[in-house]
Amino acid sequence: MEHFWEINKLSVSYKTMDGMTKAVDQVSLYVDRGETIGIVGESGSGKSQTQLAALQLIPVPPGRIDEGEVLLSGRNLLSFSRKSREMREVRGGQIGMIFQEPMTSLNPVKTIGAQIMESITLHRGLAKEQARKEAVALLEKVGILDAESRLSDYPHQFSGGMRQRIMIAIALAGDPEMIIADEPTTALDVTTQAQILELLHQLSVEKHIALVLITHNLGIVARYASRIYVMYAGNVVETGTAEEIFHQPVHPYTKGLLKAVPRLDSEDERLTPIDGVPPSPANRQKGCQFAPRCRYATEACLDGGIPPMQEIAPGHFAACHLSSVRQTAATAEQEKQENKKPKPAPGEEAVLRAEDLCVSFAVRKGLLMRESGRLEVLRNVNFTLHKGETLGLVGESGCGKTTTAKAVLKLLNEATGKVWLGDQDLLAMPERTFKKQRRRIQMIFQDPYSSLDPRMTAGGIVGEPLFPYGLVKTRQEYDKRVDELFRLVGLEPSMRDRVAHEFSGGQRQRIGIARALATNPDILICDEPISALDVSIQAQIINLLEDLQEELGLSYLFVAHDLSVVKHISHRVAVMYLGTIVEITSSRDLYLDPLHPYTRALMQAVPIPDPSAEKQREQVILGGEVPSILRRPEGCPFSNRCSHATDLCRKEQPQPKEVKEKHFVACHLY
Amino acid sequence: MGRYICKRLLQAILVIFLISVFSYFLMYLVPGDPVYAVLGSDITREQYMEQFYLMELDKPIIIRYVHWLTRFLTGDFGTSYRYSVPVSELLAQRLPITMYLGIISLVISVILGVLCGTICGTNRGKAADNILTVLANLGSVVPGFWLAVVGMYIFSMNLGWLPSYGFAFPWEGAGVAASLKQTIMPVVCLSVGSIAGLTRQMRSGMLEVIRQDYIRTARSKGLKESTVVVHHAMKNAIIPVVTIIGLSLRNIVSGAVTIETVFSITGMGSLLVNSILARDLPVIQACILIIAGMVAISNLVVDICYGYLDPRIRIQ
Repeated sequence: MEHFWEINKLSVSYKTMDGMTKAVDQVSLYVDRGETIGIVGESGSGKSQTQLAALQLIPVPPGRIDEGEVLLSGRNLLSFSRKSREMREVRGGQIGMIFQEPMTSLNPVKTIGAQIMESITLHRGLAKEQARKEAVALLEKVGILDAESRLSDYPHQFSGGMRQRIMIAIALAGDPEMIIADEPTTALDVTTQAQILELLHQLSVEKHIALVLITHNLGIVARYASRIYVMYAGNVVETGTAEEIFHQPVHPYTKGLLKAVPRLDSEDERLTPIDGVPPSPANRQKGCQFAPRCRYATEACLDGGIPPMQEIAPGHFAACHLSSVRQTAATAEQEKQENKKPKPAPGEEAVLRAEDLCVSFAVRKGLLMRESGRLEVLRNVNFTLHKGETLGLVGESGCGKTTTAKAVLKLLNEATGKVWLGDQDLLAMPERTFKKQRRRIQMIFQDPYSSLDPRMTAGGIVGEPLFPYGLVKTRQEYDKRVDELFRLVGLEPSMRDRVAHEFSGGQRQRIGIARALATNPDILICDEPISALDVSIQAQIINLLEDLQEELGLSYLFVAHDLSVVKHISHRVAVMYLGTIVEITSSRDLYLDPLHPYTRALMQAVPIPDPSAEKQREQVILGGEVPSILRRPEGCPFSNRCSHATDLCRKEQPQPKEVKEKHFVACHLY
Repeated sequence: MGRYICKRLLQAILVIFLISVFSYFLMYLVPGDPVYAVLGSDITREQYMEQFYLMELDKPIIIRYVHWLTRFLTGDFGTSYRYSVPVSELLAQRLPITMYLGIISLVISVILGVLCGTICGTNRGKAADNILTVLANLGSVVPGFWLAVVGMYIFSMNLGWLPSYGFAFPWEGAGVAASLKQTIMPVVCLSVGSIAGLTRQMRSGMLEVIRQDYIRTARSKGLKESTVVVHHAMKNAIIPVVTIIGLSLRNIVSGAVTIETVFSITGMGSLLVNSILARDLPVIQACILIIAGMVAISNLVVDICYGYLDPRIRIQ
């Protein structure tokens, strides 16, 4: 049968300093008309490169298409040159593309109208006036209000979600038969992500457009894709229907990936990380690319060349030397044992308490910069962190979660209220006294690439606080302590003299954790500690944090936007919206019985990596976007998006109430 | 935007005012008696006193400054010590010549610089890029006066195609052809450096822009490569180039003393340098203020250009 879009044995390599590196290696896949497929893989797996190369959009040189065919309705696109008319008609005409970063994917100096109309006039040959009408219709279709007048606006005047809608409008402008969406929602908030995915899904059904979803997020493809390709290090390692991939995965990498991702609907079992790091395109293995990280790897896997695709069931293929039977029951049993370790219960003693924590910045105007108003970033935030407990702080961008973390650390002069560390108020304390206390409360940062000094050795970074705090007296003690810290976070002490760029992302985050632990803190503030890491690495860091908590009795304030991760790691979770905590309760309770309408919407927006669970879930997608803090509604901050909002909600801000035992909600409904 | 321009205009006026203060006080900061500076030391007591009162040296310096400023604003820039003619007359001779050459050179530099830079940036690593980049690097290190001397040797002395000195406007006696011939070499010498500089800046701007996501978006729309470059890349890449163009606007009024000297052109550059050497303070003051005014105006023009090119700046 002829498929609409078929890639056969496509190989792409790049010329780098170390010679030619294979980015895509013999990848084959197909899409039928009107079908939605998912391509899943981590960074460097070649998932985007395959599609870009198929459309000849990779830069040549340094890139090069070594071999393969790309058939569009049976016509081999690679037989046309990169800049040929045929190729240009396919791009944007038959195939539209949507990219990851809506912030940078639109030209900042051209109006969005011009950018949409350009495609319409090019591919449909319409005159300017008609193209304009068509652009308005497209913008309305993708959900941009006031489309007519917004045509002459520039991209920076739109929010991230709106820009992604504009990207979709551009992709639709040429009336395509297929849309390739390359991580279309990775940079977006979770409720916006749900809106964008739903929009793409509806459009593909309505216009019978084939949709290729490229993503690292298994949850997204579980909800929408009918077939899935799993890619690893430039190869497709497994392909099948969504049900097959999620319920009967065969390849150890697919299995590992499914276990490494915390699920919203699972009990707090320990995650099973995939050991090691994904290989970079520069150092590909001889045999199976996954073999060095595979629990089941044998000699044959390491030297036997890249395993061929084997048909497991009709349409279900996997590239593995081992049949699924060989992966013994014993190992599975052992895994179960490992996983069943329950999370230790936290103590009763409060180590950190925020009381009416507020942060507001002065808004200054005019020539004399007189204060014209105050921008309230945090409004009366209250929470208590107990000894050995993890308190998750979750919310979408701009909700004030990072501001809370900074305020607690006394990094913001604008913070008012009280932060009790034991029985001392940190905010009232003069800086000099606080210096001694700072040892007790440390921070782990989001970006392991920019938060480590590139010119310092790893050992130097980790050991830096030791002498100033008087934690070590002599050089020997110092060396001993640094080695100890390295071992604590699972790094070889012999790596001490390396500098940051010699480490992988996961290792760098370990260095960041070791640095935070150097002062023997009681509390760690983790600000999105895993969001910059690859999926298979995230589980390693989550497990490390859990182990350290058990071993050292640490308390964590865990700030993140990913609800599944927060729910997994936390004992209790606080949900934030526009600078206030709207709900705070145990993580189990939060999943089973979310009370605040925002929490419910957030829960529904988080995709679950399980197609059958996804089908059973009710789908109510929260409309609108998180407003800017400058335009916070009167009364309840959520009132303008809430379907239950009453006049009372719009007038008066609800105070937190204990609705059930230890379950606090700030909502007028309760 | 209008408010923004007004604000910047006020700032510019403030800056020019401060410079006028500094340049006036300069006269009294340099060592030596200002009277001797004007008349020389070989004068009688009566001559000295006459000049002393003429220069209002018996009055406080603030009053003198205010009087000087009022005269300056009405176009009376004083009298040159060296040439004993009104400064305004000197400027009326010199400024048009320098501006004429400067503007021609600027237009040529911008057109050629942007063009070459775009060619380089879009053909990275290919022959065109390599050749142009080497030329640009050469052009930015070769001094203009060296080119002037070599050019004069080849085209004037050996080939005899172009005159080796002098300058006249096309509408003056000698005629258009003669004037054009006189203009070619000075303009080329003035332009080579800035063409090279702009080429290099435009090239790096282009290389930066061409790998941005929105260029990939433009290509994924199926646009022709030339459309991608002209409509999507250039407007973005030219933003840093505008800064450099703004910096070189000053040269329109300040002139280039070396090139003027080689070609015996009586322009602003040589006027300023000779006045400094002769301590001809009224001329120096006038020159400083004209240059300061030009710098202030070009900064304003650059800011307005930024606003036009980049809508993100326009909003702020």
